[in-house]
Amino acid sequence: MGRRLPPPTAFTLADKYRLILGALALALGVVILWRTMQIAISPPAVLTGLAFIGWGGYRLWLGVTRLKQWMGRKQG
Amino acid sequence: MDDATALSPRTPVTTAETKNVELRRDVSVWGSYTWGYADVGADIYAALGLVIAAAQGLAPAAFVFAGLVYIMIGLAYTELASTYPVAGGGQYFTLRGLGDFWGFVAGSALLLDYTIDIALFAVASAGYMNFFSPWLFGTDIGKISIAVGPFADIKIVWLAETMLLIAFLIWINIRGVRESSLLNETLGAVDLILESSVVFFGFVLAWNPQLLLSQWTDALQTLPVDRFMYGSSLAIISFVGLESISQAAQETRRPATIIPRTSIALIFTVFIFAVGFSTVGLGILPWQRFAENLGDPVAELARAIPFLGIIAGPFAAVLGATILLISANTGVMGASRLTYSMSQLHLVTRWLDKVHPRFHTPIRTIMVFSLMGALEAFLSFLTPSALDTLGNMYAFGATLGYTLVFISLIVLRFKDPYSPRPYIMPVNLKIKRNGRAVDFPVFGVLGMLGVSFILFEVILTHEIGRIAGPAWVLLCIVYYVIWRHRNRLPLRGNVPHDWEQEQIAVLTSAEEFELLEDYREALRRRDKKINGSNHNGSSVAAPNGVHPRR
Repeated sequence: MGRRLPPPTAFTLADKYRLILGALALALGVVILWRTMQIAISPPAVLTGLAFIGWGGYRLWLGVTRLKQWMGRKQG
Repeated sequence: MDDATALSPRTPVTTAETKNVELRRDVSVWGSYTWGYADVGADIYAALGLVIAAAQGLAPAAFVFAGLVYIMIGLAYTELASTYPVAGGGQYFTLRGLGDFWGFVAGSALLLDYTIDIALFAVASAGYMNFFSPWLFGTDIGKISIAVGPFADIKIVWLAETMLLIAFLIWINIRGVRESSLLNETLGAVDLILESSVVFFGFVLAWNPQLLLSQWTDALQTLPVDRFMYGSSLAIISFVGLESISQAAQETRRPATIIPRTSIALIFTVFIFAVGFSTVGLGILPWQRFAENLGDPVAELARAIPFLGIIAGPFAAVLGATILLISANTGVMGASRLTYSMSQLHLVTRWLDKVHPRFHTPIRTIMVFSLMGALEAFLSFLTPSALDTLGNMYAFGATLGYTLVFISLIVLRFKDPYSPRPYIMPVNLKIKRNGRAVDFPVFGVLGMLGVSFILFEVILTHEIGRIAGPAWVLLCIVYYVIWRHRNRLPLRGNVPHDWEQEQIAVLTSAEEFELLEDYREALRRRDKKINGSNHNGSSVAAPNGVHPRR
């Protein structure tokens, strides 16, 4: 299965981008679900909202993990 | 997507008969991701209008259906590209799994896609340029048409623009002018930001769930099943470009470590944007608006966002025109790489490898396949919708090629259990065969069934694709039979290859030394077992999790 990448040597622009995008996607998923619940529930909207929450959550988790790894490496 | 390290221009293909091409491995994690994104992510600019025009309010469902199949295709490519990090892509995997003939068939399907790629994305790029024509010329020049004989609606200006773009691509490729990897990375990143902004601000500022629901309900009641099938089969074109994963694999340092990570991130990003675009689009505009603006659907959508639309619309048009032109260039470059790989594997003539004496570029493949793309673009303008016709053809080539790749993935699990697989598609069944336990890929079978179903949809619903696509493949097969016969090469059998030595060379060049050791160890154990010297009854584990029966 997948090989683990070594801990990052720097917290790059791409890592920051991943964190921001993950947070925005998560927030967007919540907005989509909230708006569709308020006005008109439709399968594509619910699916898209959940997909953004899942994807954003994953990206955010990945970004935070890399941030922790980088901080651990910096301190250690 | 082409890169500074790409085959065509001034790379050491100059004496193809005597030298091997060595693509420099200098693509980073971010570079690999943005490279793929600039290629696959661009497809939505062309596909959004086509799919919504066909599937109407059910377009999100069409994207989800095609997208789920695409995810499995992507995972299959991730496994194969990290196992065999060479640029040949689908054709190479199929040849290794199923032999020369089927490798050639996969190659011919992918070649069809590369020529369509040139035509389709050049047409789409010109479509986005025409977004500005009402301001510049007071009328949409893309809609100016003439009648010639039985062809009543030839969009003459759009056709001329397309031909100019293809001529430009031929010129830059023969001259050896390349995009730099920095340009690709920048465009990929800008595209990601733009697409994220359109989706984000579209949902926040303009999206109307009521409009989406009403279009969804209307389509459920009125849309014929065959139109939905047509739409979902066209949706596969918004995910085409996965070959770039293999190309990136050849040019990435330590591909086994990097490719699985970046390609999985890429696969899910593209999927979520495709579904997000259709959902936000149908909540902002009626589907008819997309059908009327097949040439620049993303710019139309961006323009409809309040406050930002005045900037986002033109910006999306400029970015769409640029990124689609680069995607069209992928076709020129991809055809060069593919024919070179096919000629090295004795599937096509080496005549195509001839390089320009001054610019050292593969002039014959550039000319032959670009002119073929130009011819396809010209013919498509004789039909009612050029984009739709080209999308038809594209879907046929892609689904045929991907079906063969899935079959190869399954076969290779049995045929080549010794090559280390840094990534294996999830969900596998352990089965025993010839004394070994093999991971049988359940998702591989599901993916094969899914993509075969889309191929079936293409044949059932694409009036042009179901004739022109198989006709192309048959023509190629006729060529294959004649060429192999003339060169006294086996027609049904295979030219002998030393795959083990090749795999060792590939892993060495990729600097995957750990995998190389795993591979050598697996081969040593296999040889011991074959020679009967391994009598201690210990488990012999291949690096991909294949175990001999105890």
